[in-house]
Amino acid sequence: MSSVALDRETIVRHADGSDEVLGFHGPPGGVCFVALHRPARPTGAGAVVCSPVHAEQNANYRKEVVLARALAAAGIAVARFHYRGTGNSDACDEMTVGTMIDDAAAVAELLRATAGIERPAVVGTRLGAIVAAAVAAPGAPLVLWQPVVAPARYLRAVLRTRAVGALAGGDEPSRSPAHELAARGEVDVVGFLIRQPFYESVMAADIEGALPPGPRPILLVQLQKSTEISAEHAGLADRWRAAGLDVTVMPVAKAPQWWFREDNWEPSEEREETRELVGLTTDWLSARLALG
Amino acid sequence: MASASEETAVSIASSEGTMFAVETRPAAAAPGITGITVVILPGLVAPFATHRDALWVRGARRLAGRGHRVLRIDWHGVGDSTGVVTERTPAEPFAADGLAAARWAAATGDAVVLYGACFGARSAAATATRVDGIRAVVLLSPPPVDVETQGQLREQQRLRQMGLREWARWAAGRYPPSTLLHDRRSRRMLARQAAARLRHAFGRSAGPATVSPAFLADLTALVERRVPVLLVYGENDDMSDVVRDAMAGGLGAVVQRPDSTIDLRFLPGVVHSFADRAGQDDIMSVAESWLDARA
Repeated sequence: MSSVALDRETIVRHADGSDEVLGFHGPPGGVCFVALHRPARPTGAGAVVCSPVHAEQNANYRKEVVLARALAAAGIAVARFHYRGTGNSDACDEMTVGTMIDDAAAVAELLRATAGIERPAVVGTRLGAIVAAAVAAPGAPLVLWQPVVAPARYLRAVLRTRAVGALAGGDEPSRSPAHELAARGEVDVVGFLIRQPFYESVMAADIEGALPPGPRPILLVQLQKSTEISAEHAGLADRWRAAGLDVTVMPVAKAPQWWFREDNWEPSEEREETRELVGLTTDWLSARLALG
Repeated sequence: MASASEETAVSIASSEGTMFAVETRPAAAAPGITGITVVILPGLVAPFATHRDALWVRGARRLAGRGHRVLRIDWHGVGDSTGVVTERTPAEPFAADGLAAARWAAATGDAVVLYGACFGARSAAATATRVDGIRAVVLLSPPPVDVETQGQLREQQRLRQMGLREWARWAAGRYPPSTLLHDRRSRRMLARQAAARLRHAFGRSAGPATVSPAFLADLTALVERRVPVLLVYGENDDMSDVVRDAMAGGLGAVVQRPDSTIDLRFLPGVVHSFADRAGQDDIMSVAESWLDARA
């Protein structure tokens, strides 16, 4: 397979015949890093992966890579990317949920232009689930891994992480992170800067409001210690079902350490929960995309 | 500071897989081109792209702004690379990956600087002794012993203080036959612990808080090759007390020998883990100034 898909790209070939094109896309100042996974035997189906951000992007990164490689092996083309302001993409002090949605939409368009995929499925994790909901084309399958349903609670948890990090390091937590954010326009949470425009955009985000109306299949995967579906996830699924959507909720009984290192580290691909998460997502998407 | 427009995605073959990397060219606005390629070898906990708010992406672009070419890599099994990390211990740095990256850098025709952090710093030291022509080495908080945390160090000390019979009982509980049969990592861990325990029993271990013999050998080799080394720890790093203790022993003998090329510095706060943004900037500034003097 040749490629003119990305700028300044490299290609990695896999034993199953699929390959990955990794490179850059976008105008100077607004460049995004993109990875395109191209199947050896394309089925005409595709998916865009919308990552979470900050430490959650770290914690989820290899799972997304493993998922993309599994989907490509199943004949589904995949586009992964870094939002502007994150990873290898251009810096962006004004990153918001809106710029994240713009980036995801541009990558979906790139998948259409390079692989001819008109209605890619979209996979989103945590805050990336809101982005995924916003860019999913009418009828396209949507996969949500532990989505952020209540942004205010999500942000409170993120800011509390700073105090936990300070205590873990033997320091007294300093002034309230919310006050610091208001006073300085940014706050450092264990090495990650949360800026005011981003904070405000998350506060205003709403996964239900982001999702375009119309029927579509949705897989909501809950990543928590308990296999019992939380009231938050059950309520979201019920409301969507009442609106005519085909919602499947599945638990994977493992809560990832989103912000802190795990004591008993082992590689993502060898973890039982990665195998379960990737397996059920690949099976569900393969079935839905074949039907589509 | 450079931008993504000045970067190219790169694949580098290693014996363990294909490493994903990004090359940053010297920034157009840089005051001059130094003819140096800095190879950033990150820690093993996260992809270079996403660790601590893209710390190493910012680090690479800052160095490019000073006229260096920079290569940042994902180790095999990490981030966008292929392969699987089967074991994560400072006792087994990824020298094969480091060598592949150093050779890529040398092929540009530039002088090569290895710039490693945490596990990557141990790998940078191990790599630099296996390849000729390294201009300088930056080591940010390399684990001085063959474990990563104080908790693991305490566990190691506790195991060494056990009698052989007590240790054998502990090992039988920790590594039951069914685990050993199916888990290669457990077999390797048990073999390593047994060897350490036996060395200690026969008086061949210099004690639990001494610096790793392999790391010490790498530092000694770099001094003998006349390679300048910047060795940085944070005053509040988990292992800073171990480093200070070791300065009274083998580490001090290397760092303080008359012909030493090692510049050991303790910075305020924590270096290991890079968990605060102002600290990240300070650490990068120290390394950049040190490199400027060697450009």
